Amino acid sequence: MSYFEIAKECFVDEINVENYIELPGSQKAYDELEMFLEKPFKLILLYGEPGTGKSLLLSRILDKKKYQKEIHYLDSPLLEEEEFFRKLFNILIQKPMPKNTKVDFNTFVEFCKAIKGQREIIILLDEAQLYPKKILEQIRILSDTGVLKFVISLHKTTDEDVIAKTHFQTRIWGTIELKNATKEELKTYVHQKLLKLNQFEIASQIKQKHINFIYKVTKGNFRECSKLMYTTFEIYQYYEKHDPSQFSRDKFSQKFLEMAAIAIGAIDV
Amino acid sequence: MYDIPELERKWKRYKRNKIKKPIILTLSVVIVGAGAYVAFLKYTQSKKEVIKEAKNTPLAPKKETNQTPPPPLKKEEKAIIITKTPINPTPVAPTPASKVVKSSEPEIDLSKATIVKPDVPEDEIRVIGFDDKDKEKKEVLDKYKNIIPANVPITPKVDPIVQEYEDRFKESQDPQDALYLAKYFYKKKNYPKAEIWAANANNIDGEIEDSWIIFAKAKAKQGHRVEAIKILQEYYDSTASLKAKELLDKLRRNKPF
Repeated sequence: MSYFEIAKECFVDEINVENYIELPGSQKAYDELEMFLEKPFKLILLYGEPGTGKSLLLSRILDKKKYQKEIHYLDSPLLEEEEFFRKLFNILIQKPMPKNTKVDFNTFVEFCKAIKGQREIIILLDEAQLYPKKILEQIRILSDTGVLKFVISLHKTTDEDVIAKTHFQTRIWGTIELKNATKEELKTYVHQKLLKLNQFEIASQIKQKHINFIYKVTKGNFRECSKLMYTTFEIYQYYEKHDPSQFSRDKFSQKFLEMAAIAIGAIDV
Repeated sequence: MYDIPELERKWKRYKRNKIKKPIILTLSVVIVGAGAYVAFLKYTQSKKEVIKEAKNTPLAPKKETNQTPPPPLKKEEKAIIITKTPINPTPVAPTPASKVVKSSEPEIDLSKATIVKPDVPEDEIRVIGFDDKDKEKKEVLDKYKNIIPANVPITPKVDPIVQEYEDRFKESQDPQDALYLAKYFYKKKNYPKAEIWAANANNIDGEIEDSWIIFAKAKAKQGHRVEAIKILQEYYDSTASLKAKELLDKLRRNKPF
């Protein structure tokens, strides 16, 4: 594998707990979430702009708590009521719902009331803004039973705020906001990402001026930063193959970084 | 994979724009700066000219008259009015204002003056003097000192030159500065301020003819024609100022001045 191919792999956009970079902001959010899960809160709202690490935070808490608590992660939204009920059945009864079976929603509610005090189930609900209103209402009713605790992760936009307010306003107890990285955090993020795959040489070539540029064009968004770095190393790969004289191996190319920013649409030409 | 040659072209365009922006900005700043500098030079030059002009122009020339100085009068004579044709004088009652006398000053009764109401046009009348002219003049001036507040508020900032004069006046209390400002505001048709500054000049030095003229003109321009005539008449009575007389005639005949 080429020198730059490995560097590029460092920034693949995937939810992988193994690649988690511990930063002050994300660690604070993790600690808060962990604390909220210990308290008898019915609903916990996790929100932030896309690419601020909400999914990774949910994955991480699942990874850490899966042996201690009854915790489930619904990473993709369930848009149909039937699909939602099937998943709910699986979580509550702990076995798949038999085929050609239909369960009334009230049955779930009655079941939850019946197991109150015996079980406490945590459901991590990612991309909650995509759920239909009807399912969101059912989630609210289920959380009222005190058996199911939901961590609702959604994007921070006006519409999603409305959803949150309409359905959960009076029931949300814990709120965690994930923000974009600071310049220092972004620097740590970029360097740590490269160091995870032993790219010490490239990491040492990325200086403060490069970080400043990355921060300027990505505004500290982790996903945008990864996309930018991935594209930069893609450009490196191209020139390595077609015209190696275009870059130096001792110095990180500002030109390629700028080209990558143009390619991903982070800067207008 | 991206179209790298196309991306490189875009990058070159981006770099050109990036360089262009500060150049345009710098040029704009230079042009604006040069424009401002030229404007400043013009402004300072015009300011100097105005100050120079103001210094060269006698702001309050001493009473000038084309008339032959009146012949010396005997002390007993009160006033003599010379007419082209001999007339029978008709005594005229003195104006109430003429009776206002400051307690500290010796009393002067204008009624003692031989005032003749001529049957000829006023143009042909010439006042040739009073027996105690200086005291009479002082009386009139003192009277208007009481009308005009002594500490007239200084006008707010209008113009740097005006400001300069105002500041200087605060320090020097020079009536010529006050007169300059009165003339300036009169020219700018700011008659209330012109009146105030003329009053300032009169308060400090009541013998400046121009300041009385400006004062009366400013009053008349504000619609107080009768009051202007009254003041001017009294000034004229005490000084026999030709300028005052001319203005008085115009005011009386409602002619433009």
